[in-house]
Amino acid sequence: MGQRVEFKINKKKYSVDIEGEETLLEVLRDKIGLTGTKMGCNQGDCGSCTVLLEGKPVNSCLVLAIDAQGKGITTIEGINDDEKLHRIQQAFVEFNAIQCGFCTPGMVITAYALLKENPKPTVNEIRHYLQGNLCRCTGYTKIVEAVQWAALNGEREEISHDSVKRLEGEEKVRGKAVYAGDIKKEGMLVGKFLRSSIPHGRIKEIRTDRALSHPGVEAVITAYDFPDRRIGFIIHDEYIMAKDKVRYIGEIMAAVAAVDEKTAQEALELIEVDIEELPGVFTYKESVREDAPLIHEDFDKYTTEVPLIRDRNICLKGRIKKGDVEKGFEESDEIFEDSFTVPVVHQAALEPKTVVAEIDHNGRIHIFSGTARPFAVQSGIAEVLGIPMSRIQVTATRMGGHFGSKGEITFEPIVAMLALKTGKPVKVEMTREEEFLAGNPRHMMDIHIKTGVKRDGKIIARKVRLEVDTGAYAYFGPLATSTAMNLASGPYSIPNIYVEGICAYTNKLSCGPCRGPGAPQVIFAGEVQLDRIARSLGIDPIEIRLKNALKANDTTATGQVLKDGGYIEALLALKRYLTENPQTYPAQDETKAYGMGIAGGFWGMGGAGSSAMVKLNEDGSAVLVMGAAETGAGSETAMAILVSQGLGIPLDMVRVISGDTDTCPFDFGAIGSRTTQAMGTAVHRAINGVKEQLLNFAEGHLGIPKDALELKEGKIKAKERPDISISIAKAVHMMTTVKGGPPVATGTNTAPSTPFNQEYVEGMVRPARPFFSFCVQAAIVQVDKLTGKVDVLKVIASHNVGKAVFKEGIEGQIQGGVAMGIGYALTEESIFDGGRLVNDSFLDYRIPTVPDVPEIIPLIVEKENPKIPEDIRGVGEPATIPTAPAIVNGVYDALGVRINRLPLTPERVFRAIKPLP
Amino acid sequence: MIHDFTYLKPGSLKEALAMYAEHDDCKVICGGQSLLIVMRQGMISPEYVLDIKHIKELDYIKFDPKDGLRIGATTTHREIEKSDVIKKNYPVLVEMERKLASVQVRNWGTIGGNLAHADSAGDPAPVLIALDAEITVGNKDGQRTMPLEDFFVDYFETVLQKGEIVLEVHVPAPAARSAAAYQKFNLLESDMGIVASAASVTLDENGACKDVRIVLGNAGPTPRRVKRAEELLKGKTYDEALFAEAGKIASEDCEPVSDIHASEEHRRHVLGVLTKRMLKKAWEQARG
Repeated sequence: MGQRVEFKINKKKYSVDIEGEETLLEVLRDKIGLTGTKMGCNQGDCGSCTVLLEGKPVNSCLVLAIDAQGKGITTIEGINDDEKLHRIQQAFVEFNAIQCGFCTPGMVITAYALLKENPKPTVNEIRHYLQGNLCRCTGYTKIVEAVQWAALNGEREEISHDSVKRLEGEEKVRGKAVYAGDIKKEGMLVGKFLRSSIPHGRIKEIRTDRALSHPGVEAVITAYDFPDRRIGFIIHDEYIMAKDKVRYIGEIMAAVAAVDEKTAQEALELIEVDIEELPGVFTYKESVREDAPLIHEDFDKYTTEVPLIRDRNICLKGRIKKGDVEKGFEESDEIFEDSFTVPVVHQAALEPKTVVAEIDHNGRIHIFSGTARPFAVQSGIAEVLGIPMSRIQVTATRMGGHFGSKGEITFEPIVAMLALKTGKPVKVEMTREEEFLAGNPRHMMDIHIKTGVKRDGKIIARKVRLEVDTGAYAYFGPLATSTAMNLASGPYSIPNIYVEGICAYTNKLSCGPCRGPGAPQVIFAGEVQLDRIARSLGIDPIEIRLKNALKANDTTATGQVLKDGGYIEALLALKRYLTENPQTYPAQDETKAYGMGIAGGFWGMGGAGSSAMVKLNEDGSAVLVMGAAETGAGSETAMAILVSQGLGIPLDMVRVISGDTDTCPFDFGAIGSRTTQAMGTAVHRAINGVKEQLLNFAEGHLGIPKDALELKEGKIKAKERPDISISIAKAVHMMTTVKGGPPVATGTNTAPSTPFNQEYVEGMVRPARPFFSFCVQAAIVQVDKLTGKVDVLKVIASHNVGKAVFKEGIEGQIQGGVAMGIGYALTEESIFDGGRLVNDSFLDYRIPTVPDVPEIIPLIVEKENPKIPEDIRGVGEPATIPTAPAIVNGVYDALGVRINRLPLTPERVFRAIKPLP
Repeated sequence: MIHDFTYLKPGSLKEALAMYAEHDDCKVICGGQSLLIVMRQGMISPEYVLDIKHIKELDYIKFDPKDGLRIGATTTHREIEKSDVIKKNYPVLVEMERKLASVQVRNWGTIGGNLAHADSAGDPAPVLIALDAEITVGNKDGQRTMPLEDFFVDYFETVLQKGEIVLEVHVPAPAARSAAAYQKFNLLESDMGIVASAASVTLDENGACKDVRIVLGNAGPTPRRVKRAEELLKGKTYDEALFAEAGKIASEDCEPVSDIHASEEHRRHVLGVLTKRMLKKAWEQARG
C-alpha cells in the first residue's frame, strides 16, 4: 500500500515511501530523521510538533503526510539559513526562555510565524498567538519576553536580556538536543506494553504464543521472564510486571518487541489473558474499612527499606508527638478546625517517558533515557534482572520535563529484558494516554487540621490527620505521607503538635513524587487555615507568619534543631515589595470581585550523596564531569558557573559532562531540589582540589607563596604584584608536560547528619531533612461572581535561596513552579470513576496555557554574606508549594468564602457563593 | 496509531463527489483536526479517506452587500479570522474564530470540516445560526440548501446522506442596526466551550427589538435556539431585566449534560449568565 512521495522540507527535496495513514510528524521524525519536531501528545493539544506548512504553523501530528506532499514544509532545523541562529532562536537563548527544551522547537516555530505575520505584536498578541504551545517548565514569562525582544530587534533597550545564558540553550533552540525518543539505532525494535483493563483481579494465565508467532514479533515477555523478586521504593511490594494479580487499570502485564509499532500493537491484541476479576477498593475510606478486600494479601511478608507500621491495606501508619497537644488546646484562646481535600495531579512533563535499550558487543546493556537518577536506574535494573551493575550503563539523555516523573525506575528493566531477549535495540515510548493512565502522579490527600492559638496569633498547638491514597503500590506513598507529616507544622514553630499519617492502598495507579511530594498538599491545608486564623483574629497575614516563623535553633515537629532559618527574610522581602509597590485592583462590582492572598511554605531538601570531577585542559578550559543529569532546571549551567567563578575562567571555557553511569561519578539524583546544594558542594570541593594543584605548581614556578596567589581572569596572579602571573593555560600545559597530567580533582559530598528526636516519631520515613528552603507568595485574583471562574492576575513569589548561583535559572524555576501551582489551584485534577481514569488527555486534563499564566514577579532572597556552597538552597519544589493556598486565600479576600477543596473549578466557587438547586 | 486506510485524493469537486458515491465505508477529511484524533483513538476506522481539503473550488470567502457572505467548505478557520471583509461586516465571526482552539488548528481546520463533525461544543455553529446562516450540501446528483439549525441531528450527527458533503455556508447581509455577540465558557483560553451562547439583535428605527436570535452551544445534542426568549424580546426596548429574564429562559430551555467539566445545573446557570451578557453586548453594539 505504500507509495513514494516527494516532500519539500527546509528547501530540500526528500523522496520517501509512506502509508496513507502516516502523519507528517511520523514521517518527519521516523522516516526523514528531522527529530527537532517533538511528539508531546499526538492529538493537537500541546504544539510540540508545530511545523510550518505553506508558511503557516500547524500541528504536524494532525496533518496526514500525504496531504503535505508538494507543499513547502519548514521545521526547526530550517528556520536559520546558515550557522547563525535566527533572531528568534537567539532571543530564546538570550532570555533563558528555555528549560527542558522539549517544547522549545514548537514554541520557536510558532513565534517565528507570529513575527512573519505580525512583526510588531503587543504582549497580548504574543500571548494569544502562542496559546497552542504548552510549556510546563517556564511559566511562559521568559518566552514572552524573548519574543518581545526579537520583535523589537534590539531597537529598544527597556527589555533587558539575561547576563548568563544556559549552556545547552543553543542545541535546544536548534532542535539538536537529543531526547531518548530521538534516538534511532540500526535494526531497532519497537516495544509496547499490554496493560490491564480491569482494576483488580487474579491472573490465571497469560498466553503469549499466538503473539509470538505473529510475523515481525521478536519477543513477548511477562513477569515470568524475570527473577521472582518484588521491588519498591520503600516497600518491596511490586513485581516489574503484574505476576499474581493486577491491581490497577493500566498495570503492565506483558511486553512485546516487534519490527514496528503497528506489528507490536497487533501482537498485543493476540496476547490472551485470563483474569478472575476481584472486588476493587477505590478510595481511602473504602480501603481502611475492616472488611475491605485486601489489595496485597501477602503484605506482611513484604520487606521494607525501613521499619514501618503496616496493617492490611494500610502501608504506613506514622505518628509525630511533640509536647502535649491537648494541654496546648486547653491553653489556647481560640481553636480552628478544618478539613481539606486535594486531588491527584500529574507532573505532565511534555516529553512522554521514553527508554531505549541496546546490547553492546560485550553483552552489556546500555540504556538511554531522560532520567533524573541514572545511577538508581542502573542499580534498579541490576536488581530486577539479577545481573551485576557492571553489565549496565545508563546514559541520561536530554530530558523533556521531570517534576518527579522521571526520577525513579519504572519500566526500564522491561526494555532491558526485551533487548536481552532479542539481542537488538528496543525503544519504548509512552503515549500521552499511558502517561495519564499509568504515570506516578501526586497523591490525593484528605487533611484534617486543628490549630490552637493565643489571641495575639501565636500558634501553640496543632493536631493533624493525613489520609493518603497511594494507589496500587506503596511506591512514594510512605515517603510522601511522612514528608507531609514532617511539614504539617508549616514553616512555624509550634510547641505542641500531634500528627497522624495514614497511607492506604487502592486499586488505582501508584502515586509518586510530584514537585515536593507531600508538601503542596499539607502546606495548602495549613496556609489556608492560617489565613482564616489571621482574619478571625484581625492580624495581618504577613505579621502572623512573622510571629510564628521557624528560625535558627527552633525545633521542627520531629525535634530536628534548625541550623538556620530563612522564612523571616522571605516574608520581609515580600512585605517590603508590597509596601514599595502597593498593589491596586478594581473595586468589586456586580460581576467581578478582586482580592489578594498570601501563603508561605517550606520544603525539606533531599540529602544523600553527590560526587564530581574537574579536570583542566591545556587551553585553560575546564571539564566538569558529574553524575547529576540536567532535568531542564539548569544544573549544568549552575555547576559550570561554580567552576567558572572558582577558577576565574569564563563560563564558555567550562564544559559539562553529566548523567552517564560509566563515565561520571555517582550522584543520588536530580530530585528533592537538592542538586545545586548537594552537587554544588561536591563540585566546590573538586574545584578546590584543582585550585590547590594549580597554586602548588605556581608557588614553585612564580616563587610566590601560594597564599599570596589568586585565580583571576584565566591567570594565576600574585595578589600584591600585578606584574607577576602565569596563565592557567600555560600552567596546565607545563604541568601536563612535566608531571604527565593536568590538574584533576574529585569532590564528594554527603548531606550532614540531621538528628531528630526519636521519642517524637513513630513509623515515619526520613523524619529529618538536611536543609530547609523557605518561601512566601502573594496572588492577586479576579473572580467572576456569576459564573465562579477565577483568573490569577499576578503572583509575587519571594524565595529564600540562601545563595543564588544561576539567578536567571532560579527566576525560571520560580515562574514555572508558580504556573504549575496555578494549575493545581484552578484546573488540574485526575478524575476517576471507580478505578477508571476519566480524563487522559490535555484536552480534559488542563495545564495552564500562555494566556492563563499572569505576570510572575520573582523575589530572590539571599542570606546576608552568603557562602558557597553551604548556604545554597533549592528552589525547584518550593516554587510550586505556596501558590495554590495563596490563590485560595485571594479568592477568600475577594468573595469572603472558603473553599477547602482543590481545584477551584468555577462550579465549586460558584456553589460556595450561592448554592445551586 | 491510525488504522490503515486507502487515501483518495480527487482533483476536482466533481471527481470528489463521484468518488464519494462509489466508495462505501468512506470518510471525508477536510483538515482532519478532529477526525484524525477520533481515528487515532480507534473510534472510527474507515476503509477509505477522501481528502477534499485541497479542492480550490470550495476555498473562498465572497461578500456582496445584498447577497451577504458565502464561505466555501474548505476555507480554513484562519482565513475567516483574517478576512477583512468578515471583520468589517461580521466581527463576531472573527472574535469567535480567534478563540477557537489554537493558531495551529485554525490554520489547517476548515469551516466545512468543523460543521460536518457536528461537535455540540463546536464554536462556529451557534454563531452562524445566530446570524441566520444557511448551509448548502451536495452529492453527485445535486445540491440542497437548508437553514444551518436544521443541519444538525444529534451529537456528531448531521442530515448529510451517503455521498453528500458540505459545500458552502451562506450568511445573509447584515441588517441595519444589528449586531451579534458570542462567548464560550471555558477554563483555559484555548479550551473547548463547557457551554456557549450566541445572540444577534436587530433593532428598528425606534430602538426596539425587530429581530433577535439566541443560540446555545454544548447545551444539548445540537446547537439550539431559545425561541421562547426570542419571542419575549421582540418589540421590546433595551431593558436589563428583560435580558435577565431571557437568560433565565435560556437556562430552562436547554438539555445540557453533567460530565467531568461541569454539572448540568452549573451549565444551565452559566448558559443563563452568558445569554444575558451576550444579549446586552449585542444590543448595545446594535444601538451603535
